[in-house]
Amino acid sequence: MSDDARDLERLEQENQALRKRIADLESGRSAPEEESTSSWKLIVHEAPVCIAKVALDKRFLSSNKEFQVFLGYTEEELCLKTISEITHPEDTGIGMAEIMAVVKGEIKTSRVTKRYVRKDGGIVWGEVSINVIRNESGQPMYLLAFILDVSERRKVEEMTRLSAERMKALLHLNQLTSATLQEIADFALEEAVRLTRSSLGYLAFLSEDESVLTMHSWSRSAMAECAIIDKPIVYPVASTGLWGEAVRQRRPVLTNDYAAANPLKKGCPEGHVLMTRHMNVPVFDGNRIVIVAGVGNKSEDYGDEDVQQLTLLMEGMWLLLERKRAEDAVRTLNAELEHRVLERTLELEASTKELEAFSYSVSHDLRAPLRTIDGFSLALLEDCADGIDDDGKDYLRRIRAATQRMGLLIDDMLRLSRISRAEMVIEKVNLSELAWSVVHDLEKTQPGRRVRIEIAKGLEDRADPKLMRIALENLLGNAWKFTGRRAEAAIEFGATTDEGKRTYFVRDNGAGFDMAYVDKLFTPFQRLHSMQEYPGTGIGLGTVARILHRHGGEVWAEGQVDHGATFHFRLQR
Amino acid sequence: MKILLVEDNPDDVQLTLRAFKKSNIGNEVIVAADGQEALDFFFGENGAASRGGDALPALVLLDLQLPKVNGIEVLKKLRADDRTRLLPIVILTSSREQVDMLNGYAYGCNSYIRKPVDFNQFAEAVRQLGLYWLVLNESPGTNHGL
Repeated sequence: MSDDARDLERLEQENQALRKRIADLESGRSAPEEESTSSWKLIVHEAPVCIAKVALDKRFLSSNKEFQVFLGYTEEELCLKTISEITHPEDTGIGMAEIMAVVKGEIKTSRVTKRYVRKDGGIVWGEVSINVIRNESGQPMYLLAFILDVSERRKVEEMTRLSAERMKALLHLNQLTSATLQEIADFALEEAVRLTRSSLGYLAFLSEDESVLTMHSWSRSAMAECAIIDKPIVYPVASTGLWGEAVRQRRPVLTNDYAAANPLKKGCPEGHVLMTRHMNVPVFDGNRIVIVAGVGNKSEDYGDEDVQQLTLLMEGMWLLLERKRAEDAVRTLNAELEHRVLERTLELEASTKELEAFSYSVSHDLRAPLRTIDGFSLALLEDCADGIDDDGKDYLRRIRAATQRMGLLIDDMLRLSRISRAEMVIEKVNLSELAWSVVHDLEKTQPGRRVRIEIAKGLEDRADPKLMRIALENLLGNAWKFTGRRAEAAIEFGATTDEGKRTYFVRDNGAGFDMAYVDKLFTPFQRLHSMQEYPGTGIGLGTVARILHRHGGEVWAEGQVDHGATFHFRLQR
Repeated sequence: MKILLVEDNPDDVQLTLRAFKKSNIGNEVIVAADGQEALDFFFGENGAASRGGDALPALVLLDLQLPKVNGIEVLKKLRADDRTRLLPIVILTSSREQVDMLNGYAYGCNSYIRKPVDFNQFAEAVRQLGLYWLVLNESPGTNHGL
């Protein structure tokens, strides 16, 4: 059962008891008149509910203690008043028709809730039920009023209602995701004015160092009333009047008697809205005040619940603004990044085109003169052999060898650039089969060689098959080349798994290398052996590294001079 | 049976002629130093295309990088004309760029040969080329007196 209903029931019970008592009195069924009257008076006087006898013209005839406490008048004072005179001016119409109906006998009891004004001007809420007392012939004699003080309950109800409305406002605020800062601030301010039952409001942002207030918005009502044409926007906190106190004192400031002299008040400029009451609150983000929000001219005094309303609403607004700011920052950053990616892509495309043009001219323009040098050197050797001595012929042969080597270097360089540019097609590749196929090709080039080959079975992975073939050709080709001087040459291809990552290796027992130069291995055109010992252009391992990098993997090497080399690689890092 | 060599580099002309000589290919070699000269040879006033028969070469060796009109343009024009549509045309170039190869075959060359730097290899390529196109290959031109 709700409080409301319980109160009502209690009132009803008391009502009934009193009615019975009256009936008893009137029918003379009670104990001696004297005694009954005095005990009746006591009951009425001490009852924890306001009871009053009211004449049909609404003048008070008598009242009990509770009634006097409720309104702050003495019995005598009350007897000079009518119902209307103690009723809140806005509520004087409430219940009048019902009283008429009760007097006419159309209804038994009038029940309404309305506000009363206490002697001290305070406003209280009463739940009133009025019955009419009739004489034996049924003529109405006077009214009997019971009033229950429901001010506290009304206050709680009002607060609950305002809280609910604030929640609704906050919810609505959170849905204003596509609104501008101005729209959000305006909405929050209008709601703050409404929820504190104020008639105007304002919102100012505080600078990072808390020294300057920047007025952001005025409520519509303030704008309508304000006659100042060029309103200042920026206010230094140090020289701001009363409304800067919220910042200086770092707490809400309530001024319910604005007209009274106040040393903090700087006075209002000509045309300023007439102020009667004022309240403002600082809104904190951590320890820093970020916003000062104020409301004014409520018809009653500002209290803690208004501070709470305004603070919670403004904090909610600040959170939303912060969230929006963060989102905007992310959005701006994203747009910037996208723009940069686009720029880089265009740059990259341009440089790729440049590279293609370069490769093209290298392949054509650089090779043509080489062909001429080689061709005419040979022509000299063949056609003019008689006029050239052995030294001269040796020189010509050196020219031809160098020319042809340069041709190979150019070809390798182009091949490397093609590998960098080639489109990758990642699919399942059987590396074991690929390795065998490469080895068979190597065996065909030197059928006389005896090399022990060991290749692990079933090594499958996701990679570009064409590029992986080139990588294995280079790795196994190197192993093949550098074991050329071994009587018992051995080459092994296998894999190990560590922490779920597979690492492949190609191991040989060939010439090996000095670990001091390991960094140079994968640099194109860097060689660790003389051309006479092991011919080559030095592009092979550079190519392998580039292929694995394009797969997102890596390659590294271990070796020892005369004790072979092992090349490890991964397809993913 | 004539050979038309379309080549702007005089060194390459010399070396190609020397390679023919070394391979005992004694055919008359006509040299066009750019693409326009090559087109004039066929389609100019009293050009080979209008005379037909022996006036047409048995083989065209076509470089790609040519002044004025490039090799691919020459190839397109020769293939577009009924009188030269079936001529054996071999692209002989320094370029090994895929785009050149694709274009060459797309517009109907018969072979695509990349000139090696090593003259011996070049001479060998020219020898095989001559042997194949001038001796082994049966072209409609030789059979039907096109």
